[in-house]
Amino acid sequence: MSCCDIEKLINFALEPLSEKNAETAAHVAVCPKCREEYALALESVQQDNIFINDADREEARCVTAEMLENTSGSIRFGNMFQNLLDMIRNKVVGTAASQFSTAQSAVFGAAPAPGVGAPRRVMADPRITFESCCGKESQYYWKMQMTLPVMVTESSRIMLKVVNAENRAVANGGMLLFLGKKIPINAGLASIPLKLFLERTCSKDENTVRFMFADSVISRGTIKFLPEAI
Amino acid sequence: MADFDRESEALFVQKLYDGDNGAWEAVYTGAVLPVLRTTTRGGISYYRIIQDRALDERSIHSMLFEDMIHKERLKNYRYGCPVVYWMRHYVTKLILEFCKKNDSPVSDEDYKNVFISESRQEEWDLVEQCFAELWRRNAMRAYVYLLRRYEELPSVTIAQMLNTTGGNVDQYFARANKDMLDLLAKHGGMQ
Repeated sequence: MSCCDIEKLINFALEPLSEKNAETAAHVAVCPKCREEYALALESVQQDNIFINDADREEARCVTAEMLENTSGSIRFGNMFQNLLDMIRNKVVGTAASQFSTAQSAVFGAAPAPGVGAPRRVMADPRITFESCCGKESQYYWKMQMTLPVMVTESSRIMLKVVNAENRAVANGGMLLFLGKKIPINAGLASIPLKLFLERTCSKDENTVRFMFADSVISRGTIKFLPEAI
Repeated sequence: MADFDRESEALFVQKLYDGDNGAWEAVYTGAVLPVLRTTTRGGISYYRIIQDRALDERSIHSMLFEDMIHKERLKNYRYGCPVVYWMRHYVTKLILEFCKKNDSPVSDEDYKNVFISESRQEEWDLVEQCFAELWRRNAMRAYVYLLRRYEELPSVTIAQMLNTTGGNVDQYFARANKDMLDLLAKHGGMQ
């Protein structure tokens, strides 16, 4: 008999004494690989005895909500950034700011109607803000503002600014891990050539933003849809 | 197969694909937490193992989501058993795989080099045949034999699993042992 798939082994663990499992049992007895897998299948079944209380369920609600929001935000960011890169790649000079507004509306919904909230203005320097997942009370909190160039030339650069909870430059360097790149931050600032990103495809696997502090701790972050000024 | 409602499982799996909060909460409480609160046979909890690698429940939950949805591993589930057990098994393997890549003491290294040589294949085929016959005669004895001899579980653990006493387990094992030896002798195999 060939090795058993895990579903068969799980069924064997659920109904071990059933006659239909005779062949499976015999194979497990002689196959080390299946024995190991069967041990894990047994564990899975015995985990029914693990007690889950109300605090665990409440934690599940918070953890899941945050995870799904991050995922949704990551995918939306990926699409948005790809749109921006496409526009810049097409070298629409001078109108990038208004087109950013258009792209932003497409992703986040229409801007408030005139007279509602802050007056609308054309953005001179499109900015995207990211924030760490941990709260401001954590020593590993960070916020990053990315400023995109409006006037696109060969030497255009993306400006990055990373601050801590007090809105001050992160101390002692650190490194931004973003879109597959490692970007050293000096006194909270960095700039990178725009063309470095024009060849990158923004997939959902590459839209995690992380900051590595000087002590090598890596703190994950996501896009902030309602950014505060840095 | 164990009885379970395939239609319910299919609905649940669809909710996972849809990013339903309730479904993923159920994965957290039904798969992630139970696995992390389990002690391995080495006597260490999976929670301790992941903690040593700067991970926590949230990380495992996120990694599971990434695997199931973005890497489409959920498509490997074929509705052959309740999905919760399949998911628990996946979480365990995910942790073990992560550990293998991160200098873990937990690995299946011991089994990588195990092979059955040509000369012993016949012997193992005979054992398999005799064990199957033992199972048909008395499944309980055969199962205890499997758990004691091959899974190397102690009598106390087996007794708890089968809701009996350690004494009964030892008795089952002793009789199964004798039966196996008789079968092997009868079929002209090992002594």
